[in-house]
Amino acid sequence: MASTFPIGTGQQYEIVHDSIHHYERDATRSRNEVRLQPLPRKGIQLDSFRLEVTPAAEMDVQVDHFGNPTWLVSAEAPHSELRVTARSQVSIETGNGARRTAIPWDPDVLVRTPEVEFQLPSPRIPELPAIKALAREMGLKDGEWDSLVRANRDLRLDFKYLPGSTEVSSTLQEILDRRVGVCQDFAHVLIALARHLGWPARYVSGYLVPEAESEGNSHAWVEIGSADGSWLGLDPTHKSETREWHVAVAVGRDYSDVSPLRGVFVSEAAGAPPEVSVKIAAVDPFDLRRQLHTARHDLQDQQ
Amino acid sequence: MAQVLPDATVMPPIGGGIQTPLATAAAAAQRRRLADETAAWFARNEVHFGVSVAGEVVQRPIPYDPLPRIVDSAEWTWLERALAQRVKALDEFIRDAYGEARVLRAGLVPPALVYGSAAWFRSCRGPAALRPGQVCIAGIDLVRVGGRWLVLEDNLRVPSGASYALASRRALADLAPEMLADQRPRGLGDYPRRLLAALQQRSSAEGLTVLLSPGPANAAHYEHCELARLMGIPVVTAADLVASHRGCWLRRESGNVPVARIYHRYSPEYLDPLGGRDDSLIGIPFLFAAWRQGKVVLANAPTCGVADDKRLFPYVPSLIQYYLGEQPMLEQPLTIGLENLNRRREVLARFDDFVFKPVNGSGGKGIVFGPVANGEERAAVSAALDEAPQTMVAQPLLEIERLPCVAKAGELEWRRCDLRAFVVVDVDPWVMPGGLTRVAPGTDQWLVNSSAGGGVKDTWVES
Repeated sequence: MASTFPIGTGQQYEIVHDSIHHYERDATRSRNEVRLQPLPRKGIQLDSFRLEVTPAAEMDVQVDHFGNPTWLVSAEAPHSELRVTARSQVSIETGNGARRTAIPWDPDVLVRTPEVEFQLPSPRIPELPAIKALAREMGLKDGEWDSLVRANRDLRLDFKYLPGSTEVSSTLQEILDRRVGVCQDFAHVLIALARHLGWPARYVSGYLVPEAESEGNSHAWVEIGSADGSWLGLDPTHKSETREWHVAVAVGRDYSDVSPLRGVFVSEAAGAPPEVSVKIAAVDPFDLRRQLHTARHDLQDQQ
Repeated sequence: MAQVLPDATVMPPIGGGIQTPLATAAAAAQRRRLADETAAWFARNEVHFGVSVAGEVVQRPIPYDPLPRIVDSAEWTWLERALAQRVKALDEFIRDAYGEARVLRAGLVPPALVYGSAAWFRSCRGPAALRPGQVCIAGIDLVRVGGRWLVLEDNLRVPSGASYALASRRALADLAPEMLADQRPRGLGDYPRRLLAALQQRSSAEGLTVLLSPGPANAAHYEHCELARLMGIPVVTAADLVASHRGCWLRRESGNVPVARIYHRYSPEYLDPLGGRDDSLIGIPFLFAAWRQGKVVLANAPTCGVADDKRLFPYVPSLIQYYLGEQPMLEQPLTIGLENLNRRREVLARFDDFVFKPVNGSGGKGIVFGPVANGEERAAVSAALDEAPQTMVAQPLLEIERLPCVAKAGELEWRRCDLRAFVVVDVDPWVMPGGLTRVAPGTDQWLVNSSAGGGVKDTWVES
């Protein structure tokens, strides 16, 4: 099943996100929520999106509470493997990258505003004394944008980037105790700090499009709610503000709201963690073969 | 208004009509006989309610007192209007909380009460949450204090008890028909028909109407079977159903049969592991996805918990004003949030004047009454509040109405009672003309909840 969108004018990229779930015993009645469709953003246009699932599955897309397109995937027949492949084509137009500043909230206003949802504790980001201590240690001030920018820049001085050091399920307390992590963990820590300092902060999952052609990556970063209603992106893993090559796929209070695939199935055995690969490649505008291919897909969708 | 009770002495009630012949006549032996006969009737008909004994649910006949509560007809007519008003406003609030959130933006309700509530499900956002009639059945708990009706609690998730009200009436009709013939209270028998009509009003789609029960271990399993029997619909469990975004089906060996309307008896967070609690083993995956798009009716809608959260309770009078532009008819006791440290200290310093309630509890679980709490319970309340101050509220302890009940030797004793009124929302709200009067298990008891050993009595609305 696919959606098509007008072709953009910027550089086009194809993102292929492939995940394979193996089951020890056959699974039936599999029900999954899939969040893999990129969100249109300033400078980022979604040109096409296609979700492929084997075995044969029924699919529909609904928009969730946070505005994320959520694909509902149901597979009835017994299967030992569930493969979900998302193919997205996005056009990215890089702007001038003017520095932006978030406007702090008056706490009395924030508690009466729906954005407070992102300042409240959330399932993966409870209120912890260790966050208070960390904020003090880093000398961060309530409602001061420069403090947040500094926290974003300096977090990696305290927390070591170590792939494989944590699990998807690692708690915030574990991260704070061990001071290691990956992008997901740094995002959770920065969100916790921002909330502690009085900012609404949300978790963003997505892709980081490489400037040169290479294997791309799933990535996670943070957006801070400004009192004017806009959201500003901070990427603590790269110690930078976000740019157009941060392609967002889903936003939520923390990881629990944006998992790429969340599902249940009936089986006598539990499932194992999936094999996931992400490939991101710039589309050569003169590659006619690929364009033909895309066009044929579009034709099939209309039938 | 809020009176504080010095101690639990046995006193006659404050006002209130006690016209039951059996209560006034010096007929202790006759009362005892009727109490025994009705108790046997409840046992024989297996009118059970499960109580937890050492962690196991034991089904036993619900304790029954044969002296009906009598409410005069003018008073009832007023109550009907007051209840309809309240339920309408609560329904508006639910749809607003899942929709544009106007009431939050207007500054009337703190957004944290919605977004921070354990009963607000982000997974419910969608077209179905915006339709009128999120509430299909409301169970509003009322008490009389000094002759005035107050609301103690709104129950919108799975209000139970209607079948016990029906059984209370049937027992008397079987065993004391002359009493009924004399007073001719308004009949209750219309309830199942009204409930079924309200379900059908929500969808005319082809497909079954079923009652979804968590199973025989549930305290109100009798009620599930009885209401389904009276409505002529099957009782099903999660294992019988399958859902996808296209709808919901009853699994039969001959093939799946579409289900269009579900009267569920679940705490809503267990309905769908992908919509509520992901550890729910009794859920139906994608039931919310089907419901969100209007492919299946859930009654009550899983959205309802946001409106009967006890932290929201203090705001209900202003919701009535905001949505309906009317003055609230029913009063309610002051409910104090305890997040603020100074306020918490003040309240704890006057512990004996208050009752402490967990915000998400039901069945009376975790409720602590100041004057009768022991040292251990007091310490537990303080500790719980230090840990998570938003999980409990305090209310001034009220001396609620006591009604005459039949004691051991047939003499009268006065026990605290409330009244659960049932409101069925079809196009317009309809109030069951009676409801379930719940009785504390002893003269020194405060809780009337059935899970706390409380009993029931019939409620007669004069015609």
